[in-house]
Amino acid sequence: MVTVGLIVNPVAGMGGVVGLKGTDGEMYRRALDLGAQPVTAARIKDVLSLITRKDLRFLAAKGIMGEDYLKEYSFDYVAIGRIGNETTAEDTKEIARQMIARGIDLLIFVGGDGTARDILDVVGMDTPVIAIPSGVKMFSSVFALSAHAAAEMINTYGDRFTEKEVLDIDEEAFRDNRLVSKLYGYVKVPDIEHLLQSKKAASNVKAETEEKKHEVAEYIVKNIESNVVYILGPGTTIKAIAELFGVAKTLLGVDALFDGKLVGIDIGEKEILALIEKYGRAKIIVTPIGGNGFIFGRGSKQISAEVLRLVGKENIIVVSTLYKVGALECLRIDTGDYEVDKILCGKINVVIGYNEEIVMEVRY
Amino acid sequence: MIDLSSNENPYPPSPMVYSAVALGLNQLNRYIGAEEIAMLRKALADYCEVSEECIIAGPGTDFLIEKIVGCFAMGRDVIILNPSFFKAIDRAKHIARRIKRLQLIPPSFRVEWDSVLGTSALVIIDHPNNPTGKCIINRTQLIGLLESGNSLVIIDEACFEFSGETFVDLVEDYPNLAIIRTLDKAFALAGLKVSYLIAGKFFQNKFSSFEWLINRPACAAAVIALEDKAYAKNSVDRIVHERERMRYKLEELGMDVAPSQANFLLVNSTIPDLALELRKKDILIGDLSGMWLSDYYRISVGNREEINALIKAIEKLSN
Repeated sequence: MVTVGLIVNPVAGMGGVVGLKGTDGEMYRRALDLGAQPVTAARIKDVLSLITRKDLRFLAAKGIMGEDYLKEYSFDYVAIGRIGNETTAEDTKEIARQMIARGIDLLIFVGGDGTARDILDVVGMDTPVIAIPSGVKMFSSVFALSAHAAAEMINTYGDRFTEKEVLDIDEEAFRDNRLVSKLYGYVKVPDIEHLLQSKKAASNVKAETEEKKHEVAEYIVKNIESNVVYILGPGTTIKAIAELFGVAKTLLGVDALFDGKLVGIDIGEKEILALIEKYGRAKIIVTPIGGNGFIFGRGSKQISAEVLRLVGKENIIVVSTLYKVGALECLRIDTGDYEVDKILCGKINVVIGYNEEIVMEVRY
Repeated sequence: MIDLSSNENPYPPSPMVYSAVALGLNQLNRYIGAEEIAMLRKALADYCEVSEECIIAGPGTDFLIEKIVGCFAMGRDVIILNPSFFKAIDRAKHIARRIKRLQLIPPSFRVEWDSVLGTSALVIIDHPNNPTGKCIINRTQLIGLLESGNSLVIIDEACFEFSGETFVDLVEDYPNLAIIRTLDKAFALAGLKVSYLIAGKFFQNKFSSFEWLINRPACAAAVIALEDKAYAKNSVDRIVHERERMRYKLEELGMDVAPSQANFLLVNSTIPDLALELRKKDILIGDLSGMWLSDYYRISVGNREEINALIKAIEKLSN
C-alpha cells in the first residue's frame, strides 16, 4: 500500500478573479468581500477522478481541507487534524506535521505558492510531493502542468524523483513596487518524464540528472585553486560540490570555502566583502534558478553588485545540469546596478558535466 | 503503437533488398569478405560521386562518431549544437579538453560561429540539425571554420536526401573535413545500420579497420539498395510531401511548426503534456523538455495513415 497525504488549501486561488495578488492572510477576507468563490474543489476532483491506482490509502485533512473530496470516490481514507471555520497557513503546516509523524509516502497538496511554502517548511526534501496548482501566484516550478499530469504522477508513483523549486513573491521587492520571485527552497516530486522516453532515448538526459550533478561537482573540485576564496551560491548543484569537500553547505544561503574549509556560513554582503578583502582572490560559483534563469539579483542578493564588480566576470563559475539550463533561452541578471549588469552580460560557459560546458547568453 | 519518435522511414526498403538479405543469410557461418566490402565501398563512392579512398563504412553513425571522438578528441574542444543527439559524445569527456555545447534558440537558431574560430576543436554538426530540421551552418561559415586554427569538422548529413544540401564537394579541398551519411533514412535500412564517412585526407588511414563489423546481410542489402536509387528517391519524395501536409495541418491546429529540411518536424505546442497525452493514445513523439526548451516536440514524418491518426488525436486534445 502507498500512504498518501492530502491537503487542500480551500481558499487558494480565490483572489485571482477579483484582482488580488494572493489570498495569504488578510487578503482572503478581502477576496470574500469582493465576492470570490472557492476554486480548489474542482481542481482536486479533476485529479481524483483520473486516479486508477488501487493500492492507495489516504491520510486526509478534515472537511474542506481534504476529506470532503475523497468522500465522493471509493478511496480508503482516514481524516486527521482539526480545522476551524476559517483555515490558515498554520492549519496546513500542522496537518502536514501530523501526516509526517504518522508516516506518508507521498503528499498531495492543492494551492499556490503560499501553500507550497507552508508545505516546504514542514516536509523539505524528505517526503515527495505532488503540487496541484490552484493559486493566484504560481511562480514555483513544483506545480504539475495539468490534472492529467498530477494523476499520472500518482498512478505511476515509484522510486524516481526530481527536485523542483518553490518560489514566491519577494516581499521586500514587492514593497518596493517590483514584482520579483524569490527562491524559498526545493521539494521532491515524482519524475514522470522518464515515461516518455522513446526507444531511441530522445530525452534520457533527465534520468541522468543526479549523476550529472555529481559529475559537475567532481569537475569543480578537481579544478579548484588554492589560495582563492570561493563564494558558493544557493542550490543543490552547489551543495553537491560542498559535499564532495566533506563540508555541510547551507541549501539556500551563501557560504564561503577556502582551501577545502568553510570560512563563512549563510553570510551576507558585508561578510562576503570582508572575505574578499582578507583573502585577496575570490571566485563565485552559482547555479541559475530553473524556469527564469536568474544567476544574480534573485535568490542570492547577498552576492551584490559591489561583490560582482570586485570579483569580475572571469571569476564567475556558473554550474547547472543540462536538464535545467538547456530549458532556458538565456541566463538573466538584475543586480540593480546597470553598469555591473552590462559587464556581466554576453556569452558565458556553464559547466554541465565533467569537462562539459554549454555556451549561454546572459541578458539583463 | 504509432512510433513518430525515432525519425525512421515509414516505408519499407526497396523490394530488391529482401532477396539480397536472403542471399546474405545463406552464408551466415562465414565472416564478411574483402570482396563484399570492396563492393559496398564502390557502391557508396558511385552514389556520392567521390573516389573510393574517401569512403569509410561502418555499422551505424553512432559507431563512426565514437571512433572519431576516440581518435581525434584528445586535447581538443569537442563542439556540438544543443540540442543534438550524438550518444557517443559523452565518451569525449575524459579525452577532450572539454565538450562545448552551443545552445540553439528559436526562432532563428542562429549560431555565432565566429566565437568558435581559431580554437583547436573537433566540431560535429548535424546538417540539417536534429531536432530543429534546419541547416545551421552555411558554406561560408563552414569554410571559415575549416580554414581557422587546427580544427577538424564533421558534418552529419543523415538527412541529406531530404535537404538536398551537401558539403561533399569540399572534402577534396579540405583534408580536415569529413561527412557522415547513413542508409538508415532515405534507404530505409535503419534495422541494418550501415553508415559511412566521406573523409578528407586527414582522416584517411587513421582508423583501425572496422568495415568488417558490418554484417553480411546488411552489406548485401546496402549494395542493392544503392542500386535502386529511384526507389529511395520516390520514398524521399513521399516523405517530403507528407511532411509539408503534416506541417500545414499542425499549423491549422494552432501549433508553431518550424520549416524543416529533414524527415521530422519541430513543433511548439501549448497543449499541456502533449507527448504524454499522445502516448495514452498509442502515439509516440519525441519530447525535448528533458534537454531543451519545454513545450517543444520532435515529430517524425509518418505515412499518410499515421499522420492522419496524429492529427485526429491532436484535434481531440485541442477541444
